[in-house]
Amino acid sequence: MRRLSDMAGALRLKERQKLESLLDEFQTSFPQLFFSVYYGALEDRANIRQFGLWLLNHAAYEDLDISRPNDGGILLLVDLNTKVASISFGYMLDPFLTEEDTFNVLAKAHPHLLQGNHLKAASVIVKQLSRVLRKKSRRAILQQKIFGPPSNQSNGSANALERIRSNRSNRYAAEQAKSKSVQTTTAKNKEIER
Amino acid sequence: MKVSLFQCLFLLLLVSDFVHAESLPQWSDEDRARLRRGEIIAGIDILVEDKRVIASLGLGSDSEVLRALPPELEPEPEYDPKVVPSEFLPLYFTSSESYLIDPQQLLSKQESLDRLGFLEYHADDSELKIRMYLFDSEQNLPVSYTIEKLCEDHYADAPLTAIVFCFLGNPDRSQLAFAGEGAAEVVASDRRKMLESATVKAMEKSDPAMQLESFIVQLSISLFWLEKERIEARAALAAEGSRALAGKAWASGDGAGKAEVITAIDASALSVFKSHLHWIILGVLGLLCLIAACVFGWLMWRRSRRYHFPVVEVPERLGASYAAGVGAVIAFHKKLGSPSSQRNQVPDYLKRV
Repeated sequence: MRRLSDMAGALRLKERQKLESLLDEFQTSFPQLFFSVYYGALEDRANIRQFGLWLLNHAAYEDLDISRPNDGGILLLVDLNTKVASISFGYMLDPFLTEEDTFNVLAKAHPHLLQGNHLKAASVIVKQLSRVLRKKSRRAILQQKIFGPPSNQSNGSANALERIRSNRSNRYAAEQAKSKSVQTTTAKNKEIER
Repeated sequence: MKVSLFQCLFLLLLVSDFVHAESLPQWSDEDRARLRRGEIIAGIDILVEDKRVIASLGLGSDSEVLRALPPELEPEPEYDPKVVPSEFLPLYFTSSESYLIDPQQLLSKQESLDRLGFLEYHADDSELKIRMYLFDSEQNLPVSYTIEKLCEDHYADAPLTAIVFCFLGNPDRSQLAFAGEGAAEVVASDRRKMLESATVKAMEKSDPAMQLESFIVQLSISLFWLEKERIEARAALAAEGSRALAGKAWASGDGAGKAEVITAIDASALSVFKSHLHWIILGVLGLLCLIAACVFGWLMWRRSRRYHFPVVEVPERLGASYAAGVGAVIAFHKKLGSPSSQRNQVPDYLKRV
């Protein structure tokens, strides 16, 4: 999966290029984070929040460096079928972003979404969210300087990488265990057949 | 018998006293001689003045008959309300120190003092004095006595003065003229406006004395504005003159000119400004470039600035490895569904059962 996934065909080629350059700028400003946009046409019964949560947890972005884990990701999900937009974000932004912040950002883009101007809406969201995050980052750094590092803070991206690796290793171990179990069950079955 | 004799004597005494007290006037010798000659007829005063009787007596109209006639009184000339009495005209048309000229004493003493007091107060405050000439409402001036003539004869050399002919109780007939230095600069339209405004103000009152008061007050206000305009015009003229003088002096560069340049600071500043105009333009352009460069630099710095977040270990929720962030959702399927109506959202899966 790529950062910009236009499954519903909401954007033209040039618009996609513009949005990608905007996403690059976001990544330049925030080295720990990335912004992902997904345009899809979901089923009526699908819950966009749950889908966003699932996507951010399971997506493997091919155009992203490994130093940017998914827990630093922000996903803008636009469902063109039910006409609903949602923002999900990873664990890294949990202490800094609130639902209200994201709602305010979405509200700013609401007129453009109504008009079907998705590029404009996405760019407004990216810019507004960048502004909010800049503010939050400055405040967080200042608080860190004054009150010291938080108790449950790890060593930044290195620890995040470790966690990714651990997650990946866990997955690998799980897959191996699964394959092993499959192998054992097949072996058992063979023995039983014999 | 004795008693009656005594009474007779007493009565005789009383009668003799009475006769002595009521004695007739005595003729003088001369009158007695004239009486004998027939020049005087005794008792003629009490005779009826009948022509026939006089003729029968042979007395002519030139006869020296002494008559007690009442002294003849000179008849007063009839008062014409439309004419200014001739004895007052010279009093009007002479130069007067007073600001209120009322030789006919049309105003009462108190009213006259009040109006004069205000006119003097105005004269203290203003360069433009008011000379108020009072006439009766219907009075007409002779043709040779006009307000223009008065201005020429008596106020030509005086400072600028407003001469007003005021007809008491008839403000419509009021006349206004300016005399003295700068009288020609007062435009006729301005003069007309002033007179009209004062007349209108006076017409608001019914009492002639109150009308006069309103007239004077309004005229004073108008004159204040006129004076202000004159001062401004004079200042502008002076500034222009000094500027021209300074320009000449600057061009000539002589010593006397330089001294005048010091007095005309604004003019010199203008010329200095003109001579250094190109430097000023260059400076402004340089300043604009500097500001643009600063803005550009700030934008570049802001663009290149990196924002980091402290990494905080957050316990996993819902079994999610990377994200359980509860972001907002907004619907845009209907135009009437404003964002504010969708604000307070509570995710269903986060509700506690």
